[in-house]
Amino acid sequence: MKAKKVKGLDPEKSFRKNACKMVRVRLDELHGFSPAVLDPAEVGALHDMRIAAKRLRYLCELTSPVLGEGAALAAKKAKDLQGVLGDVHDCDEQIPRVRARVGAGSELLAHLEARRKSRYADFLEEWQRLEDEGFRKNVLERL
Amino acid sequence: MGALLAKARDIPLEGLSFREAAARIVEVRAREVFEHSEGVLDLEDIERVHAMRVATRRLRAAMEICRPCFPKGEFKGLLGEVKDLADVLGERRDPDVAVDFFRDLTDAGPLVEDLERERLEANERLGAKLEEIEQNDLRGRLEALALAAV
Repeated sequence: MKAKKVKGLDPEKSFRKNACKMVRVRLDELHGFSPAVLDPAEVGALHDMRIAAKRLRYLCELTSPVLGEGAALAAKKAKDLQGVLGDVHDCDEQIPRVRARVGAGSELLAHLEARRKSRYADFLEEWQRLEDEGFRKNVLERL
Repeated sequence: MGALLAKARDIPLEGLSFREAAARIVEVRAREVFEHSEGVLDLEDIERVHAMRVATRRLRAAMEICRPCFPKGEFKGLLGEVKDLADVLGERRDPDVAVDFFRDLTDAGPLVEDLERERLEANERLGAKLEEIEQNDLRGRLEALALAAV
């Protein structure tokens, strides 16, 4: 997934000012995958959201020494999202492979499908909590 | 141990311009990649390749964040090389993780055999890539890029 371009960056201005603009765009990018990701069958959107979470995480880890607690909060939550979405993605990658190599009725396939369901439920719970808590607003207010 | 190895350094950036910060960030993140390069071909210690992969992903992310501060031509080529390195490290890491996950599960024998084979092939490609970046001095060229920001 290609990252959305951040407009108005200026290498001569302070890193802090530029970093704020980047965090805003990356936060919007992350939120742009909802409501698509509320459907467990939206494998592509879930994968792209994982990439968006990774971009936000690395940006905020790098910038939190200058942006403070807003960026630190975003880095932490993005890392959590990236982790759970990574597990969902691993299952989405392995399930077809297991089906082809081991067989449709195997215990292994049942195990993987159950894991996918469980990790997706974890993701959904985490995402809804973030939305309910006003994650984006909380981050932006603290930048 | 792996998590500790892969931890990124905090980089003091307060009061710097974007350009000055970019030079510092890319210099530090590039150095971290090569600090983690030792022993990555060791198939018995899968955390080493993980640590180098994470460091490479951080460098890639840092370069993308700091893109506006670098000369375009040189930057594009180097970013491509860093992405290639990250891909080759990922091809080795992915079967490591999958083997670990499947090893003790019922029915997984044939799959684990496939994955072990993939792992060996990926390790050979990683060996060739490490030799290539040593010969073409990727490290030195990244250091030069960092300096070019200011």
